[in-house]
Amino acid sequence: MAVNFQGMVSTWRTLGSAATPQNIFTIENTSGSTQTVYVRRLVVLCDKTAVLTSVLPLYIVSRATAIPTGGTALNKGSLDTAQSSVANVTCRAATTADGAAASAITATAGDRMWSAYTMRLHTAVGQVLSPEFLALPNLCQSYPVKLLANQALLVQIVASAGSSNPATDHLVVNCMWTEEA
Amino acid sequence: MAITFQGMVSTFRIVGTGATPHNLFTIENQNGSGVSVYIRRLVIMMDKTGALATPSPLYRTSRPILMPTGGTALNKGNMDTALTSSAQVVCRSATASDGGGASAITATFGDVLWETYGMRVHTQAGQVLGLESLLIPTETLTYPVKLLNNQALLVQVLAPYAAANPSTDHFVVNCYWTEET
Repeated sequence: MAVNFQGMVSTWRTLGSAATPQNIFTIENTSGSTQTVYVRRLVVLCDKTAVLTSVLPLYIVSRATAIPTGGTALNKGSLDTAQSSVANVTCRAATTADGAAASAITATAGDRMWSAYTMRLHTAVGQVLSPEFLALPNLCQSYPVKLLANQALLVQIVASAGSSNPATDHLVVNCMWTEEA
Repeated sequence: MAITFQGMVSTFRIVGTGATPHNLFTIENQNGSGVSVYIRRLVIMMDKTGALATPSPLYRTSRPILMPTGGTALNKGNMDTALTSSAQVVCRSATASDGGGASAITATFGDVLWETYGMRVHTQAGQVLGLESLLIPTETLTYPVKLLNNQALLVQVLAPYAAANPSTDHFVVNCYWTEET
């Protein structure tokens, strides 16, 4: 197989919607694509400024049951500008700008693949670390998630209550993938 | 392909400017270099001595829309002194000495590749860790970011508001790359 594109993308800073679930990122390989998409890294970063003493939301990766719609299509960053991404590959964010109002992605979660907790402030004291949290495991470097034409991957917040996903939660999703044929 | 240089560089300690965005570091492959630059590791480290109870800035890696200017050109560290870096490969820092005055890099961000949060000090208590945060993912060891001639990579602070990037924030950016023909 030939690697025809190596891409990276980062969402805008997305605020919690005070609802659950909240779709925060998708990568899609729409129908008619000549490429297979291999998702090799998917991470969530967050900062949270408010206290939460109840259980954290989960950040869940699944195969969407249908190709998503809505949201904001992101520009795809290229690791090698001699290569071009196919137009059928789309990445969506849930807002149009850093910290801006919601731009809702319409998508329904399918088979759950991986879940991650990130962090919460049980009390608002001391240092707050915001490391990368793996939305897919490291093994996907070698065993990537494969998206055939008409398939998509969805990242969503699933909270025990809408109030556990407040607007004081600030989230970014980063993704790295290759397109191969 | 032949590897003609393997380099590492570290910026001086840069302090926040009280402004946003704040360009911290660039690596450039200027016209006529005769080499391609492969960026395989790019990290930021930080210490922050002031308290910040609002969201942390994001640290953003992108391909700038034009070649950067200004700043302070850094000496390039060499992993094998039998190899020589092209003079057209330039690394810039936003200050000329550790904690020194700003030496502003002029650059405008383009397609975003990756973002990271680092940390913040919600209240000044207990231990503060200054860990590495990845500005590009570890996959770039295998799938490096490729800079052709007249291309560059830009690292910048992107704060939700200017006061969230105070002079009590201290940054270092480290980069490892190869030059190949």
